[in-house]
This record gives sequence, C-alpha cells and structure tokens, in this order.
Amino acid sequence: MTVAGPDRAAALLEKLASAVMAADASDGAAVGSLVALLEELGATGHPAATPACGAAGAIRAVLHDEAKLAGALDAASEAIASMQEAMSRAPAAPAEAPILAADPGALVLPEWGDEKTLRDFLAALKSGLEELEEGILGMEQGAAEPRAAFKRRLHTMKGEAGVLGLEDLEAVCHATEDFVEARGMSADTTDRLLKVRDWMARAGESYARLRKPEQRAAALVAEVLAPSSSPERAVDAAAAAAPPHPDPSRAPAAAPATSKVERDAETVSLFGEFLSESAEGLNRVDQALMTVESEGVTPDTVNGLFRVFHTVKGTAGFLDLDEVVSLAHHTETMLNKCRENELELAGPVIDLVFDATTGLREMLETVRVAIEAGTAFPRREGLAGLVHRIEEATEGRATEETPIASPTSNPEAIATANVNAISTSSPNATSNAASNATSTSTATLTSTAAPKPAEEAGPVKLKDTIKVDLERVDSLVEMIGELVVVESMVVNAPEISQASSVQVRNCLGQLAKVTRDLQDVGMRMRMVPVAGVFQKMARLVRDLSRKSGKQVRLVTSGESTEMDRSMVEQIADPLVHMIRNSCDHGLEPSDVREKAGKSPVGIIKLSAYHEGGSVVIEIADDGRGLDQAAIVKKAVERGLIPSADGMSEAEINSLIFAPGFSTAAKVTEISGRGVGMDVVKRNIEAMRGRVVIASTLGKGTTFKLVLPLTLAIIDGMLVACGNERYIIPTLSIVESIQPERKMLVSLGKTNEMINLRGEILPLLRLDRLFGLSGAKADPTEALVVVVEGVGRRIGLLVDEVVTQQQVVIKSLGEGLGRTQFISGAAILSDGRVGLILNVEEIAGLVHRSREYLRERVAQSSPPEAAPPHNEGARA
Amino acid sequence: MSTAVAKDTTVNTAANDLAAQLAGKYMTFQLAEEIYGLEILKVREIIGLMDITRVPKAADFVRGVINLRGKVIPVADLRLKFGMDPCQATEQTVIIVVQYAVGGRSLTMGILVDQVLEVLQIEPGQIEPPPSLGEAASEAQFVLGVGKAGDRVVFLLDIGKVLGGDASASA
Repeated sequence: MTVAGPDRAAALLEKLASAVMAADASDGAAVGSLVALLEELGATGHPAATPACGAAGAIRAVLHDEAKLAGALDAASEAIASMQEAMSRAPAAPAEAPILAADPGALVLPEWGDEKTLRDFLAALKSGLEELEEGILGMEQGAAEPRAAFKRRLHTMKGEAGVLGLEDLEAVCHATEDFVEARGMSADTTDRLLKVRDWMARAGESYARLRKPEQRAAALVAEVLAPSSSPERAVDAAAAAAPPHPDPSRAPAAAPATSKVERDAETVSLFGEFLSESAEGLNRVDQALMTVESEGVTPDTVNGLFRVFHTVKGTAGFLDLDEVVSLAHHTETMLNKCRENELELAGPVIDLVFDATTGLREMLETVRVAIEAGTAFPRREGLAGLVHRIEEATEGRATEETPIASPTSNPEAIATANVNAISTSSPNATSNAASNATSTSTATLTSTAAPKPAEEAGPVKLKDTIKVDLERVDSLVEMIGELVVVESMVVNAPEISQASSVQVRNCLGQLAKVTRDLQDVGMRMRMVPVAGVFQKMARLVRDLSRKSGKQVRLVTSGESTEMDRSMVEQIADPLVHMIRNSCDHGLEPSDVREKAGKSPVGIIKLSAYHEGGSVVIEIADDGRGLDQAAIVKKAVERGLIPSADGMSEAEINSLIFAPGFSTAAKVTEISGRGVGMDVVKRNIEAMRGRVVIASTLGKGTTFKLVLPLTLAIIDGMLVACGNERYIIPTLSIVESIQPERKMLVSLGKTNEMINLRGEILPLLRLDRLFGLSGAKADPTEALVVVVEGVGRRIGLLVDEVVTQQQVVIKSLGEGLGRTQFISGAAILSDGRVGLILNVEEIAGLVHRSREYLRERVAQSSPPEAAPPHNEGARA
Repeated sequence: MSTAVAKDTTVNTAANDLAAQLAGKYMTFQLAEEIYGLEILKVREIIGLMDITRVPKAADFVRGVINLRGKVIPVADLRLKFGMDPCQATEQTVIIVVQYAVGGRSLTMGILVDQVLEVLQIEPGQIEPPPSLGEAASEAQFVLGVGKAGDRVVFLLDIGKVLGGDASASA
C-alpha cells in the first residue's frame, strides 16, 4: 500500500472530478483514463478513497455496454463528489487508521449507502416526527387510531434506520416500541415519549452532519425508557444498538395481547412480500442457470444470480430466518467466487445452485405454512449437508479466504446483508458485504464502497407497476361487466333506438366504443404473461433430463402471451404432468433416437399463442408418438371400449385421458402415457378449456390446450327454446344446421338421432330435457346445434339461434345448491338472466344412455326405448 | 306444592328467555291468509316483481333467478314451500331480498310473497314459543316463535331453515 498524504489524494480527486465530467460513455479513451485515475486514488489507501476502487471496478465490469456504462459513470461521479466532501470534512484524518478508530463519533454509512439516501431519510424523518408527536398527544386521550398510527410510524422508522445503519435511532425506535406496548397511557408516558421524540430530532440533526447522536441510544433508553415495566427488554434493545438487529418477528410475540394482532398483521405482510419476491427471484435464478448451461457464463448472469441470493439473504436476515440466511449466504459466497473467476460456474456448481434454490423454495414454503398457521418455524433437516457441500465447493479452490464462520450465529453477517439487500445494492458493494460476512466482525475496513450503477443489468425494460389488492381489481372487473350489460340495455332500449337524432346515435356509438375499450382494459388488468410458468417448466425439463438420463431440450416460445392470472396458476399443474409425460414416455432414449435417424437430443416445444378468442398452450415433443393400436388394445383389455369400431383417431387418442389408463412399460410402446393425464383433462376442463391431441407414430405428439382468455367472460351463442333462452359456450359448438327430414332417424319414440354426413349423433330436444313448453315440435323447422362435450358430439335441438355475444359469467347464487345441466348465468342485453348450458353434462347424459343401450344390445334383449333424461337424472 | 311452583317458574323462565331473544323488529308479509314475520336485520331490500328466469331441474319451490343490479340471485316461492298453491302475480306481489347465513356462508336470496305489510316492533311479552303440532307438521320447524300483534298472529320465520336446509338437500 502506498502511504500518501491526504494532499495527494485530494489532488487526484480534483483531477478525477474534471475527468468524470469529460468522460462520456461513448468515449473509450476518457473512460480509460478515468478508471486509471480512480484506481490510483484507491491505491493511495486514503480512508475516504475506498469508493474509488469500487467505482473503477464497476466501470470496468460494464465497459462493453454503453448504456450501463453511462450509469456507472454517473455513479462514479457521485462517488467522487462524496469523496471530495469526505476529504474536505476530515482532512487531518490519519491515512492509515480505519475510520472507526479515528473518530468514534463519526457516522459510518454502510458500504452501499450514499448521502443522498440519508438526506432523503432525514427529510422524511422530520415529517415523521411531526406525525409521531401528533400520535403521542392523541394517544394520551386514549384514542386507538393515533396509537396504531404512532406504532406504524415508529416501526417504519425503525426499519429505515436499520437499513441506513443508523444504529442508535434504530435501537431507540425498537425500545420505544417495546415501551409503548408494555405501558398504558399516562401523562408520564407521554412525557417520556416526547423526550424520545426530542432526542430523535436531535439525532436527526447529528446524522445530517454525519455524526452519531451525542447522547447514545443506550443512554437515552436507560434514562427515559428503562423504568418501564420491562427494564431488561430495554437493556436488550440498547444492546441491540451495537449490532443492529431488528426483530419484527420476535417483538410481537413478547408484546401484550392487546397490540399483538396489529403487529402481527404487519409482520405477516412483510413475510408475504418477502415470500413472493423470493419466489420470483428464485425463478429468475432457474432461468439464468438454464441460460448459462446453454449459452455459457456472462458476468451479467453471475451478477444476476448473486443478487437474487443476496436479496433473499438480506430480507431473510431482517425477518430472522436463520436457516434461509445460512443457505442463501453460502450460495452467495460460492457465486462470489464464480464472479471473481476463482470458481467456474459449470457442472457441479450449477447443480449446487439448483439444489440451493430447491432448498430455499422448500424452506420458504415451510415459512409460508408456519405463517399461515401462526406457528413457529420448524427447523429443517438435511440443510447442513447441502450447506456443507456448497462450502466444500467454495473452499475447493479458495485459498486466501478464511474458513467460514457460521453466518447464522454472526449477527454482523445478518445485519450487513440486511441493510444491503433492502437498499438496491450494487454487485460490487454486495460482494464486500459477502466477504465481510464471512470474516469476523472487525472486518469493516471496506465498508464505504462506491454507489454503483443501477442494478438492472442488460436492456431490461422495467415498467412502472403498482401493487393493487386483487379484490379491488376483481370488483372493478365485475363492475365493468355490469356496465357493459347496462350499456347494451340502454342502447337496445326501444325508446332510444327509435330516437332518430344523429347526435344521440353518435353518442351511443361512442358510449359503446368506450365501454368495449374499458372492458378490454379491465380484462387485461388481470392478465399476466405465461412466462413464469414456462420458466418452471424449463427447470422441470432439466431435472427430468438429469434423472432419466435422456437428453432433452426445451424450446419455448410465446412466453409473453397473457392469460388470466388465476388461470396461469391453474395451468402449472397440468403442464407439469404433460411435460413429465413427454419426457418420460414421449421421448425415446438417445440411442433409440439415433437408430431412428433423429438427433439424440429430444426436443420439447412449449409454446403459447392466441387463436381466435382463446389462448392455446402447446406441448409438442419429437418422440415416438402415440401408438394407436397399442392404445386400443389396452383400452379393450381394460374394458374401456368394446372395440375401436367407428372411433375416430381423436377419440382413440383421447382414451389416454381415461382415469388410470396406463400401459405397462415393456408391453407397449406407449408405456405409461396417461399417467396423470386424467388430472390434466379434468383441470383443463375445469377452466372451460379442452385438450386436443395430434400425434404421428414415430414423429411425435402434440398436445394443444385450448383455453379461454379469462375465466370471467365467455363467448356464447344465445339460443331460444320455447319461451326461454339459453347460452351455449361457443367453445363447445361444432356447427349448427337446420336438419332435413331424411337426416332424422329415431329408435323407438324418444331416441332420436341425426345423420350428419354419415355420422350418427344422438339428438336431444332441449325442451324435453328441461320440460319447456311452446318449443317447435318439428325438428325440420327448428335448429340442431352440434355440440361437443366429453369427447362426444350430440345434436341439441333448439328453436333458433338468437345471437352470438360475449357474456360475463355469474354464479347462480349459492342458495340454489348445485344445478344440473347449468354451469352458470349471465345477464342478457335486456337485463334478464340467461342460463349457460353445461354442455359436458348434457352430452355425458346421452353418452351414458348410449352405453346403456349398447349393454342392452349385448344382452340381446329387445332394444327398449330408454328416455335419455330419465337415465341422466338418475345418474 | 312447592315443586310444582318451581317447575312452573323454570318453564316460564325458558319461555321468557326465548321471548327476550326474539323480541325486536320484524318485517311482516302476507302469504294467502296468514301473516309471517322476518327479522328486519335479515331483510336487505324489497323489490317489485320482475322477470324470473326459470332454472330447470332446480328445487320445486325455487321459481328461478333474477338480475339484482348485475348480481344473479335465486328466488323462492314461499307459498310452494309451505304447501300452498303457487304465487299468482298481482299488483302487490313483491320479492323480499333476504341475506342470511347457513353454515358460515352468507347467502342472498329473494322470496316471493303476496304482499308486504309493515315493520312491527314485537315485545317479549307478545311472543310465545312455537306451537307443537306434532311430527306431521313439517312447516312448524320453520317457525321460531309466534308473535301477537293486537288481534293478529305473526309467525316469526327462521329464514335460514326455510331456504337453506332444503335448497342444499335438493341439490
């Protein structure tokens, strides 16, 4: 280390300041000289110059990317400015001495921290203090709301102070929380709280001068808050000032019952956010690892991985989830090695990271369960093994690093991680944090790293989003649905449609357009891209490929296709089954593939796209395809069908959806296809979608999941029958025709059928099924709507098709209990309620009676007329 | 002697408790010749008769569903429930929208009645326990108590039992 006087450092800084002004992201030479200067400055060893190294590193890391480089330069100029300030403030500080030793009263910001954040916080603190004072005074009057507001404010302040490393303020907030909870309101309490408030104001001023408060937290707590009913807790809190260790999960447990609920709700919401953010992060990890495997390592991906684990660790530390912290920390340490090129991110290391994400996911799930059940977090078995393996991998090529102390028992690690993660920490700063965490708590020398460029690596377009309560969105969507109905009622009202005024008609046209647009927007509010689910599948394929020893590549497309949020959730489960099937049974082992002249790497294509008004998710493999002969054979064996006579290819293929339809591995080539397929079909049908199979023997199989865009709206055909009108979902309509006399055949009096281009379909009269009066008796005057449900087509005889329209599905109301043949209701344009037919149930009814007939034929008894609806009603 | 008095007191206490519990405001309405009362807190609103969409295969006493400002709710014909002739639409026929809880779920349903009368305050002293009509009278189980308002008799209905039990049983 070059020992240089502050003068040299200051001179360098001055040069730097002008260099950073001159440097432009597109100007390589200027940037180069800037980096050189920064490094030189860093090498002076001046305590205030530490950010320089960081800034130099950051610029170096992003040299190839102009966009990010600009960000890095900005950050560097900020760093330079803060260094200048630091030097002018303490020009006499001895260069070799660590800051802490030099001036115990000086405030040391965490290494990620910059003054701007602090100033922002202090500004917020001022207004916060006013709120606090209001709360304190309000509380004296015994009102509940100010008390709650006070506690919320205090809690937030504590968290922010913790993030910024303002240990004293944090400790005082914490002690005050305890104090308020432990004591009822009295004039004395108010006095004490006001004293605390005043201290906070003073502390804020000290912090603004980058000094620690003159009266330290411990002193204040002892003086003002300690004589409360729980002195030992106050001491505890004061002790916490040394290693800041906010502990929201423990505090409520110890708090008196009166305030427990509120704190709990807060903690629970903290956990909720943590869980969902971590889950998202882990998904990104999966994806990034997948990219690494296919395209190799880039610094960006490693940084990305690192950040995720770091964030998880930080927040988990804040929430006191020691085990999560431990695992995340070790993984992070390992990734840090990768980043410093001491370890190669490949093979076993990738596997370890995968294992770590799996472990974390499981732990987070346990946390979720524990939170929901309100129980303590269970310890996790087998974690030590994984941690140890990661440690070994990390240590394997690490020589200079000291052995890793258990980070969970090291509050410093948690604290450092915590403050880092909560701020949007930069890669370099976090690496410092990581190495800090691994060494002992004296390692604070590197603690003022430069603020770094925004962490969004690569050309990521981050859209501005807000989190909105799902309930609100739902009620908005519901109201839009109602608006659509009312709008069409208004437009179609006879009084209005007779109005001849052009102006009125124009207005109505405008109203209709706006309403439609609004409906679109409303629907889109619940839409999310399927990318998240696809990522999970990528992970699944990878795992399956490892397990089965087959080489499988997943090709995805259309990840940005959007679907209703709840459907995206529901689609995951069936997809897992289908992908598993494709991997296990659809794709052949590599040697078999090679013999068949295919590439040894099996390909599964997962794509999503829009088709008409539906979303299609397609899972295609280039495997062996479905062996129809084998399926038929198995189905006959199992008694599912008497024979394949008259069955279409699609019908045979859909046999694999029969419950428990699974053929033994060696006997047929379709081994096991159908495991879980029953589940798939059910799930998809529950979403009012359908599954279409296309398969060519030897070439592969394609499953198409055709799903409605949203669960709330369907395309329907409004049909009239007698005096009633019903809605048939367009999805299940094949065609509609006006039958000719010669097409109609009838077995007995009630078993009518229609001969549709050679295909004999059962014909069901809706009026008879529902007991309606006034329907057209002669089928040739009426209309046959051919519908498809449970893989069967039937003809449904109705009077006429009124119109086709989109309807908002409503439940029939629970008071009715379960209704037969009706799946829901919708408000029609005239304001009446229209019922939506459950085509599956109706088709199943006739299907069953056909089987019934077949049995009768088999028993060679005379084919009696079996009234279909009676049969169904009994079933 | 003293035992008899004590017993009498017990019975009276039980009856008084019941009466005290049931006392309050009731929305009274008419079905055929009789007057019934609904706890006012369970009545959400009263709407005029509107188009009712018949629901096939639903329970007999369910007339169908209506559109209550965008919400679909079932409508029951109480006359059918009580074994009378179906309700014939008149000028006075209305739908009372009730909200009640069955098994922890809150249900909204419309009930079709001949005529709405008034809101009555029924005091504990005006309430008697439901009459014991024997096993055969299944309708008696729907009655919480019998209120006396002047010379009129008001059957205080347990609407949850009237609508809830059977609707789910018929599903």
